[in-house]
Amino acid sequence: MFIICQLTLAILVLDSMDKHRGSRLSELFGSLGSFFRKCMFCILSMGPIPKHFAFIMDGNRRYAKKEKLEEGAGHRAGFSVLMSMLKYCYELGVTYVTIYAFSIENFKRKPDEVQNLMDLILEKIEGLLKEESLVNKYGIRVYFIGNLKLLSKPVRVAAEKVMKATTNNTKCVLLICIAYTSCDEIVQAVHESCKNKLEEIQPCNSHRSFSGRVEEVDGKSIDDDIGHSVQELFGVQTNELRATRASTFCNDVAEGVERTDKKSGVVGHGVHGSCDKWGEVQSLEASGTRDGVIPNVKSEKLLVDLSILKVVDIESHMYMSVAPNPDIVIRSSGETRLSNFLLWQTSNCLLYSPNALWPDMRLWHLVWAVLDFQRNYSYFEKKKKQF
Amino acid sequence: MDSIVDSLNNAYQDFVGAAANVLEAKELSGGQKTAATDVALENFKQKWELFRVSCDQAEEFVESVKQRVGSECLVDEATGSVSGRSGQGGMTGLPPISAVRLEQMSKAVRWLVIELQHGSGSAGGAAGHAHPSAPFDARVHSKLATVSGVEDIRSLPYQRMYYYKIFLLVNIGNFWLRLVWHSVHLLVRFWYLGVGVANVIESYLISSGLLKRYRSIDVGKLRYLAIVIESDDACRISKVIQLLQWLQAIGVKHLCLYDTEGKDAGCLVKLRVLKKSKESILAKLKNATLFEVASSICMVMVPLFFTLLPFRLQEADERDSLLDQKHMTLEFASISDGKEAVAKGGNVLFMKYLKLANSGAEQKEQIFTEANMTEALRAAGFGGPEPDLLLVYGPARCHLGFPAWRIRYTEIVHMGPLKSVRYGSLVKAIYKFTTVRQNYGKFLFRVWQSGKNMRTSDPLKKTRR
Repeated sequence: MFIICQLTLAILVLDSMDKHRGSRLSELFGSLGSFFRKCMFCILSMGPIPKHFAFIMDGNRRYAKKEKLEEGAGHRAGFSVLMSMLKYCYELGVTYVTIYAFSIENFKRKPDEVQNLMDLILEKIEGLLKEESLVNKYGIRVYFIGNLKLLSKPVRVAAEKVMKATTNNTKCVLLICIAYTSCDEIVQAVHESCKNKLEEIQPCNSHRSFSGRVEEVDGKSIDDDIGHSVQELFGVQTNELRATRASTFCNDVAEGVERTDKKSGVVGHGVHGSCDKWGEVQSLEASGTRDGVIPNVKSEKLLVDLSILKVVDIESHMYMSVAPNPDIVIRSSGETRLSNFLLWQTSNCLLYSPNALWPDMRLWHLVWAVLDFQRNYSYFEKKKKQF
Repeated sequence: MDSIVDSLNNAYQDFVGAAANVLEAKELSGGQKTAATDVALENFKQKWELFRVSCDQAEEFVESVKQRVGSECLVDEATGSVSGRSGQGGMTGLPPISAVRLEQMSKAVRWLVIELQHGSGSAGGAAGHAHPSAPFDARVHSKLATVSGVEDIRSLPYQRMYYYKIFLLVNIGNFWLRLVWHSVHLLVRFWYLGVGVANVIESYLISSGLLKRYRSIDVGKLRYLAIVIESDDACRISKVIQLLQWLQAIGVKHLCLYDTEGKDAGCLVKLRVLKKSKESILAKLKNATLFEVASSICMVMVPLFFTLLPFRLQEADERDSLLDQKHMTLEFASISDGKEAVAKGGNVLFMKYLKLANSGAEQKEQIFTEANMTEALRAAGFGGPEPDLLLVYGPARCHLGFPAWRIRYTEIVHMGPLKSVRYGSLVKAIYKFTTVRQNYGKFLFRVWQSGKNMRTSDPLKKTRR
């Protein structure tokens, strides 16, 4: 117990002296701090270590106000703390670290503030490419997560350059969320999934049945069977479709789709499933025919039941699909909300909100988060297995 | 190493060949000492010297390797008889030799050589010397067995001790580290125990009305409250009902009860298996009305209790309808209202996207906006409001899959396990929310959690982020 107290005290004291480097004494304290830090990490390693940390770096402006610094100085102080945190995480053995650098909502701030932030971000992104940077020291692969189209061209180009330069790094991963919100991520994932599904459905042009029959069916110029059925579901009626042709139709569509590529299995199933669903709904109006009769239904509930898009499709198109779900989300400055950050990925994730502002964050906050995680590890593992 | 093994192998073969020649010469000479036997013996002596030199070289190499990595990392050993292995007459191939075994072999050979030397000096020649190479090899083996029996005892403890010491050190180190780790966690438990005791005392003080600031809460700011309950705890109907009654007494009007398996309010599974538990809840909450709003939402309208409580409930800012003033709405949600709901909303958007694609509209990509997604979720039956505050009753602070679309800016507060639910803690959480929240462009009030209240007002308009 005495040893633990001494160790903790040493870490607290030496860690607080991290800020004041420069003199030989500071270097000595730095080395001692590093030694005690490694001892503490050895102790922590006796229990489960989280694989993925996420940070919401809140409180930079309040810190600048509190310390009476000029505008932008708070963010610079926050950056140096970020580097320390990253170093601690990678020394501890954490594989993935995600940071919330800039939200889409932050674009609503004052233009000069946004510009200052972008300049700082550009400067720091370019710093990542240097030889002596943390990225090269620890072999970190960097991803920029978010709607990069919203960024200015220099920042976007620099980000893409860093991603390309670090492609071969395999030890650790750093995910920088920039121009990111969780809702935007979900919408983009749904968009990509829809585009994918459309591409899978549409290249059945080689099948005459796919488009030819549709044109025959009701005399209207409709592109494909799905579109026809969508129009049906949105209220378009037809009495000219023959059930037998429709049932062959649906089978052809399903068959054609299944031939495209390996993903088509899902679509084929979805389409065929849809045909079955239509058959079910149309049972009241069917003239003794089987599946594939286009229903005369306007229910949006049916749309929902078609379930062409699945949860796995959306998840595979998320920006964050390159990393597993986070184990801990740390938001500094004591705020208890997630502010549109990783809402989808944090179902079974520990949320930790220390009161310290981001530039005041220290090693012991990280250690406390890990201890909290270890206390609740079995609970979260049980939850992950359930869902 | 290969060259040493090669030369040792060759020297051994030559030595064995020379020994065989000596025996043949003796056989041919009928046990008499002749020129042929002298030549053979001379040759034998030379080969023996060469073999001894090779053995010495090998021994030196083995000693150096032993010092570096230990002799046990070498696998397999070359024994005298390899004809069965390779199918050929002599020793072929270069199987790695255990250094210990090598040492034993060299010593065995030396002893045999000494015996042969003594044996060749006598004129009659022992019957043993007339044996062909097989018995000669057998004698080598027997010597080897004798030597190895002695050598194994001497070499094994040294290696074993070395690795045993390392093993012990590592295990002792791990033991102490694990002990320290458990001690650290014990300290952390004591800390949380202390915090728990402090919370209990504070909760009692709040419940008794001794703390003035908690006497009046502006519940109007809390438009929608969500509660996340552990599925296992959801079966504790009495606790859930007690919680609901307290919230009703505080003046919360709109509430969502969430648990992952949909066992809200005592083993409920959405609308499908609710009857038994719903009845008990409705019986406890007087004059409650149950109706279905959407497939996944069960709304329970509960009349407000106007009881004699030491709290003054502030009136709502908006003029609600008579029905809303008298009732509390209760929503039940589960994990299927989360990701699966988004997938269903996505399907609604997909159908629209398809329609636009078929009509050749250029704006088809523009339908994917957050507003349209919200509409699609509503159309699919998952359009619940965004809670302002989410209280988590469980062992850890985690929203457990509460619908992601609805908790963008929701304050998430951990209340501890449901079994230790307290009225004072509930009041404190709601009070902190009403004072900490940014009031959408008005004034920002902050309460620091470290025990001292520090209020700053920021007249600048801000949007909550």
